[in-house]
Amino acid sequence: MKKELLCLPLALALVACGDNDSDTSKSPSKPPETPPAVTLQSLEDSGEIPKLDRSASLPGTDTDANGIRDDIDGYISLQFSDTKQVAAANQAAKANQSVMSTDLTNPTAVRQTNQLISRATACIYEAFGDANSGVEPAVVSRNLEAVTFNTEERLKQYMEFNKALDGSSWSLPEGNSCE
Amino acid sequence: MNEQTRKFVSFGMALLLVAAMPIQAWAQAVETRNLCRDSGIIFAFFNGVQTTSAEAHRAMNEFRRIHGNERADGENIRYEVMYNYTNGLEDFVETFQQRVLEQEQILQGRFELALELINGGGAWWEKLGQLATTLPEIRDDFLDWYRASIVESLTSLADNPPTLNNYAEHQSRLDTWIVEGKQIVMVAHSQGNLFANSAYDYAASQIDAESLKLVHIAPATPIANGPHRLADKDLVINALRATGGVQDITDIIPPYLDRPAGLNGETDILGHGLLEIYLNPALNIGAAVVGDIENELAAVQPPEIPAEAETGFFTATLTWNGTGDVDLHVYEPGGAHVFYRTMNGQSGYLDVDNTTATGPEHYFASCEAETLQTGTYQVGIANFSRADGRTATLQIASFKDGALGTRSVTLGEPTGDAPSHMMFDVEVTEDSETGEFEVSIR
Repeated sequence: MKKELLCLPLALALVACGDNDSDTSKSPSKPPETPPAVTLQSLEDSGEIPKLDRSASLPGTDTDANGIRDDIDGYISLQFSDTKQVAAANQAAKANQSVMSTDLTNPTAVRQTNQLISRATACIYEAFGDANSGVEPAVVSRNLEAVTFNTEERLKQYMEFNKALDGSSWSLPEGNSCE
Repeated sequence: MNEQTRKFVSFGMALLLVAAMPIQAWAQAVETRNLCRDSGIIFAFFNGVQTTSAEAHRAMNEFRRIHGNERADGENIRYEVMYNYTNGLEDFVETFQQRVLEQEQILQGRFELALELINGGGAWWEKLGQLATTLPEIRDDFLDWYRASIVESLTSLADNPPTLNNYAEHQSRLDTWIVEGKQIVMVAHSQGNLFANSAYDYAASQIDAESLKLVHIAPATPIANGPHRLADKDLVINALRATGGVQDITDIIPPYLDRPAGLNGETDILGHGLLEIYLNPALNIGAAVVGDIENELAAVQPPEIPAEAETGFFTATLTWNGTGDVDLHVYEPGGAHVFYRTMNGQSGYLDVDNTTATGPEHYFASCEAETLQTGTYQVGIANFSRADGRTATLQIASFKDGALGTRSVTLGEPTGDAPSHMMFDVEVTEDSETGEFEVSIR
């Protein structure tokens, strides 16, 4: 088992190299073009990795008071353009964000927040579930979960939220789940 | 047909149409609007180790995508989760920070990577891998710790298997399904199998085997109550095998580097993930798991004993842990007091009354929009007789979202027809624009 784990680094090392097939190198009159250096900044600017608020504030900043952190507003607008998909992503982001303000000592409050997330997740599957959506709904939902709980404080709050749901039960929402 | 006859027939038909239109309109007006979709089959999912609530939501949605809302014979399927949290990983966030984020400058503060790294990485991790060659080593170190931690947690759980007594909401949910005559198909992943076995034993003592099925996925226990699937490279269960018994391997999966991404775009280095491995449509084991579930869905039968209770827009289910007579009382918004003396209310009904032991008692609010009252329903309980000191459990569940809340109290001396504990205020509202009803508890 250990051996299997040890061989894994090769996989990601391979991912890092692989941009050496440019035809421009065949032209004697033109020096080979060096691809622009990949930096944290360039990855964030292109949306390949998320550019997020990393402040110590649990809720973060929500300037337009739409219930979604400003940086996640930015993430959604960069990732999605279809109206229905943007609306579904916004609903999920807002539901995730409500974890931050949930009183974890109040079981009813915890359940109500979970219900929001349950309906929002079902809505993601409605908006991204068909074959032409271009992205799996599980990926959309998982990424929105990850960008919301992106600091130590936020991730801890989320883990405590999950713990508070231990032993509970709920159903997939029946009927239309999108707001 | 001559011209005159044709005119006469046309005139007659026109008269009929004119006469029929108001009748149709009237029929539409009085047609009852059913707010519920009655489901005969419950698909109960017991989640695996270190599953966030959002991951449980995703798993259920994936199951619905695969198995649909109804069986081939038209019987409706309802999807419910019986959620459990993994204890023993309280230091997960700190360890992630120390072993991953603090090891490399470019990773600092990026806690969004935590949930994808436990599956061996993802798109963001790979992108960052372009900036530092140390990432694979950092990941493997963290995953060594993570796997050891979850194996320790699973071992501890297997040594002290969960009982339904500790999971009142799960037990009460089962009580509701059983009294409503549901066919139950349980599907469990990883540590969820320990919870599912406990739930299975409880339900099996009350309903016949043909009405209860269980499918085990990557079970963290040697005890089986139905078909199981286990991948040969499931590193979590393989590690558990060294410390105790687990079930036999059923399927071979490709090595990590050759593994196709699963439903969530990830491959899971540990070979244990539900969406990455066991429901992966590109792996044979994914098809096998789906086949097992389809077989059990096809085989499950309605209980031989007819259903005692009906599904409602919302329901209240009361149980208690021994002999005695405990009563359920519901005060409806219109003023009706529904209990064993007056079982029919204006909006709902007490359709199950138990006077001897354990319950259940069951109230359901009508699914007919014209009958269901909006406003506050006050739900309480009373020790009518012989139930002193018993623990009584009351669960409110809605048609739309499942269990809304479960509360337990210890009963005092009998109070006859007067409830001693008011347990829930249940609020039913109607959206004036859409006509949709909602229910919530306080």
